[in-house]
Amino acid sequence: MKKIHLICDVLDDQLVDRKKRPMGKVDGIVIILRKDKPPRLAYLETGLNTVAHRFSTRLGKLAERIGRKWGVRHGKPFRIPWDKVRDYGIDVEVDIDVDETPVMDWEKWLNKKIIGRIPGSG
Amino acid sequence: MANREVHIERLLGHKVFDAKGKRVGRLEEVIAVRQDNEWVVQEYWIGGGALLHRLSVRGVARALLGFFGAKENAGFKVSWDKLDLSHPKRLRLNCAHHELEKLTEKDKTTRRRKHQGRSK
Amino acid sequence: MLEITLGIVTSIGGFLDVGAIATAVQAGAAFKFQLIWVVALGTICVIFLVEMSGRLAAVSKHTLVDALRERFGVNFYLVPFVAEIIVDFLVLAAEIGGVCLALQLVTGISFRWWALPVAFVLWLLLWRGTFSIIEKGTSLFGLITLCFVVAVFVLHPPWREVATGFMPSLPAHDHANYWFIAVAILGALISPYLFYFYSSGTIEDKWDKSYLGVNRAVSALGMSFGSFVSLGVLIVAALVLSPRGIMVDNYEQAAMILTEPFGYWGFILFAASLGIACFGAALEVGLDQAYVVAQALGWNWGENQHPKEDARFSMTYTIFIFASSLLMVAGIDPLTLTIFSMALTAVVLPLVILPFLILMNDEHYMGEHRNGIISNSVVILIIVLTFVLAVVAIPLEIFGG
Repeated sequence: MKKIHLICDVLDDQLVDRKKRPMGKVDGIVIILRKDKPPRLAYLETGLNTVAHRFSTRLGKLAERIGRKWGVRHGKPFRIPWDKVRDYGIDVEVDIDVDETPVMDWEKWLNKKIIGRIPGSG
Repeated sequence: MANREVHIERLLGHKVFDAKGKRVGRLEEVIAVRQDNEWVVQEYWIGGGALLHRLSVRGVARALLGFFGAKENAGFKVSWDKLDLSHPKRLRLNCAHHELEKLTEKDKTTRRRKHQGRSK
Repeated sequence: MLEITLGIVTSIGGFLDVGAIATAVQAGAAFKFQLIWVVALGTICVIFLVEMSGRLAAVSKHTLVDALRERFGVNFYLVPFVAEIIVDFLVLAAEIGGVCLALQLVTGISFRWWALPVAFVLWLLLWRGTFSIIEKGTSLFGLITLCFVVAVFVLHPPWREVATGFMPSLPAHDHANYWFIAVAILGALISPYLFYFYSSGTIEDKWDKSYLGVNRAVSALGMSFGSFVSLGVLIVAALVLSPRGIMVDNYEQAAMILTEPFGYWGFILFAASLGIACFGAALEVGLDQAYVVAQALGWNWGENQHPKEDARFSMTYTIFIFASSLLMVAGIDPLTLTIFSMALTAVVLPLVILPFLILMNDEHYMGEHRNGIISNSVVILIIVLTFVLAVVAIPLEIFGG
């Protein structure tokens, strides 16, 4: 029976989309507890909020407050349903397009407001 | 407890106690398997041996511990239904310490290799 | 063969930086040839570490940062990550300081005025350049540092005494300063940014398992030849400054070492060597900081991409370059900052190296290309020695004046 070592082989691994573009790290893994059934793997999470929570709850809540100031989406970590995971091991490959997610929002904002305005940025 | 979300990464390294309140070790790994078209948690690995498995330094640790005359803590695997996750900061087993199954060398071999081709 | 030759040339040209120059000059001036063994020890260690980082990247397709975070988790990795960022920041400021001082030597205009223009040129090269241009271009220019090797032969050193310097020995005077300089030399040579950068470069250059032989040749031969340049600086300083009892407190004194073999042109050559070597190193450290942050957080990264394609990566090196240049604008003495950051590197080394060693022994990452007992032993011994020396020597130097 194929087994996944969630901490060793998934957590903190590089996340890539269906075109193999980087979309952050697997910062968290969410399971759903059920009555009389084993917990189900539900989501992967990526985002600084999730990382902050790993150090302390207080830091996590602070990260959420700061994120919310930049827009509702940024107060919450980005979740990827487990059934979108195509492969894992070297990278965790998920069947989504990173451009359709809020993961690249900071990158796009930086491009629009700063980087893109400097000559030679391509 | 039904249909509650739990973040695995926030459980990592937390102490686990048996039904009698005796400390067993720390939660170091979570193993999932495919069952009925979904991925579910099969077992949890707890204790020093589990940490050494995760860091792949078991051989070195065993040699060092042996040198100092200390015994290695083998680590345990705990079935999903034996660990109560309702209080993440104080994880509790619903069985006694001596009922736990020890980790074996064979358990180590189910990890994925990280060195066969890459996306970049 | 071309790859190997280019790689060796790159390593020679890229080996010397402000830390290697400053520590070698001080070592030669204060203790003649007695600290040559420390340069040799540091070189052996860095050969192993650079080879390991290239092997890790080529086999596992992970950079060192990627692999460290994956393997040990973010909670543990935060500590070496923060340590690396702080050390890199100080080293970058010192390298920029080296370039500014070279310009001060030639123009007479204070280094503080040069800080922002130098930072701008550095930034522009990273903004517009590719990895290949930066790696090969600055290293080819860095071959000017071979003037120190030429100077050694012009000055006809007592070769027997030089050879004796390869054996560890105790100083006749000033023990605290001797061991402190030894620590600083090791910190200058075994700079973490070197192997973090090398592993990122391996991925940028798309090396795979077929390059393992090239990797071994480049690290061994390149670092060895590079260390000859470092030894050249030490020997020349020993021959020129030590007999005059000159203890180097600033780069103006250091610049004298090439005037004896080459006259006025020696002064120009020293300034050019210092400026070009530090400029090349600053490019590497600046880029390395962006690599470390981007890889730790899983961002898109790569010097071969346009800034628009990896905006966060580009923003990171932009911020670090200009922020670190402010230390020079503020007037912090570059030589003091250099020695301090080298000593700090030595203290922080075990934090960075020990997890690296564990990775190199992990079958899941390295397969059949894991470390052998020699690699493990050499690296552990030298790192433990460096750390112990650092913990003992730094307080002695501070409190002993």
